[in-house]
Amino acid sequence: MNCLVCRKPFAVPWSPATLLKRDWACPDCDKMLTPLNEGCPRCGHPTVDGATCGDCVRWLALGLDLTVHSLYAYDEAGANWLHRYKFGGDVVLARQLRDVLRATRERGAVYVPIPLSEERLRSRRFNQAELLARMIGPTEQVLVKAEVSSQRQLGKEERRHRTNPFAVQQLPRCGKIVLVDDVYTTGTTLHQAALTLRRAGAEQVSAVCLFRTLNKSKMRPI
Amino acid sequence: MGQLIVAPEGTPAIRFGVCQRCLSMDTRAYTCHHGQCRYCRNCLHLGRVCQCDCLTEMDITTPIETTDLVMPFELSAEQRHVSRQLLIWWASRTSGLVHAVCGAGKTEMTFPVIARVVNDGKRVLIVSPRRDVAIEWADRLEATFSVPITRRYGGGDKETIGMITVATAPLLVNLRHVFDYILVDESDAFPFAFDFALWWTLRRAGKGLFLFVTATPTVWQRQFPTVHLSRRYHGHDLPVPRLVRETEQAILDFCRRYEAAPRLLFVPTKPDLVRYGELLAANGFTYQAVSADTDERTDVLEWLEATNGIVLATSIWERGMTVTGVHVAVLDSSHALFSSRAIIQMAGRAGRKPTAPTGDVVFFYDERTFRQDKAIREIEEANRR
Repeated sequence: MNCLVCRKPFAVPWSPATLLKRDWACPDCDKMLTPLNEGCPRCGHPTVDGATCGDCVRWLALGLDLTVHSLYAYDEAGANWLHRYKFGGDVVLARQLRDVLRATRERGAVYVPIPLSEERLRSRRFNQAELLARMIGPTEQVLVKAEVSSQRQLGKEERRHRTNPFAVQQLPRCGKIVLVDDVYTTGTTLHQAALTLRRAGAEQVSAVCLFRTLNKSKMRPI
Repeated sequence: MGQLIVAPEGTPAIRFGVCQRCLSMDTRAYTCHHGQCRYCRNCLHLGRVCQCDCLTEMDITTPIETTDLVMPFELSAEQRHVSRQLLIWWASRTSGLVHAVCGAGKTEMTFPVIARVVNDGKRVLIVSPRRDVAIEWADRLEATFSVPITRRYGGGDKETIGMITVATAPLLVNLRHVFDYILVDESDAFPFAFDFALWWTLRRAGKGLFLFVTATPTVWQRQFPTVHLSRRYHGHDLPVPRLVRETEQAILDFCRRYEAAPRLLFVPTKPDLVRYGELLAANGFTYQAVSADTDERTDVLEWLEATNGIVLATSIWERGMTVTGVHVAVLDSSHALFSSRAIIQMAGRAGRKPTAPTGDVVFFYDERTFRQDKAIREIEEANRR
């Protein structure tokens, strides 16, 4: 079996799952990403004994309460992974994290991916968040997004003071909505989307995010 | 006629689950923005192709130039015979095989025909199996020809196509019917011999005219008209391998005996590098190990020549490299990975320079195999001819 990520051959231990699962990642590649376990209860950022982190305190002060389940730290390996997945277009890579994503599934929730603008979707060919959301559970395209410039170059303060680009198409019937996104940097995107949904009448809104940027790291924002 | 590019119109990029650019079957289904789609995982580095993309051929627009040829040295009579034969083959547009022993000066023999092809206004491609070999080709060509040489291997310039292109096979996948003359160096070596898709990319990149250059042709390559050259350019015999039963003592004796010269020990697999390395280190030898994972292979080569050290190498170094006055040992030569062609090539590393025309070649064996016998027989045969 060839590894999904590094494409080198390696031995898969035999189990009944061997017959069912097609995409395997070798142990080395599996260990590359750093999972986030204990940390801020609202965004998963590592903190001292599970206190709420500074970013979240500021969001709470603005009256926006959103619990984001972050899965991995956005360190160097994470950035490389995401670059391959999102900008390189190697979509099958997401299968590596299938089990982890699936473990976050909740009963009776609808998974709503953060949308791309029409133009961006056409040039990229796929919505990276939607493909992740489909891996978790039932997905519905609730939000639409107007064309805005890319956030990649913006600083933290500029990001936070953008106008809300989201609008609700049609609210799903069920009560629980889980937003899905790929990276949580400042949280502006997710909080704006959650605010839009709440204003449209959604009762319970939470979020799942694949990567959480660590503060004071020298990573380039994506 | 030209480079394959992704365009709004043309032939579909993926048909029947086969990528039409790189001919790989590793295409994966996913959800595109308009529904079910497939993309190719094998040629992502060239920009992703999707089932909904189309490929068209863009003509090569680089101007056709003529070149001057400054031979680095005068060819010997036998070499001149070979290069004359190559010119005849080019005139009649025939594919052929140059069967020349290791260290016969194969590179220089092909210079006249390359110059003729370029001056006829045709494009030449030189394919080699490994990047190290491609770099060496490009450097030698650059010193000889006045036209710029395009280097199309990992780390080189991958955009333009000049009159003379030096490439490794995987980087030719997006070319179609470009080269009028393809010189396949070491044509029996690993990527060509085993990967059938690479043959197709090579055939597609050219117009059907090949010249295979190797010391150890495969049966399939022998079907082409062949010109033989069984003498090295300095006129000395090829060193004939000795067979020695492999014991730790024998290996250490070999290393001690040639203390004043570089020693090159070939091992079959990467774990063997560690195993034999421990043996050498325990007996006070300093050595360096070379495998496909080693990044600075040229540095190791310089170190080997400068300090008369010991290098443990896998078959990555079996072709295309020259060390002055080296002594070669093939450890565990009865291993199934060492084909007779591979060990002939390894034996051919010794005595390539006119200043040091001989060298000791030892096959260490646990058991005698037909592959060893065949290799020794073929080397002796070449010496007799």
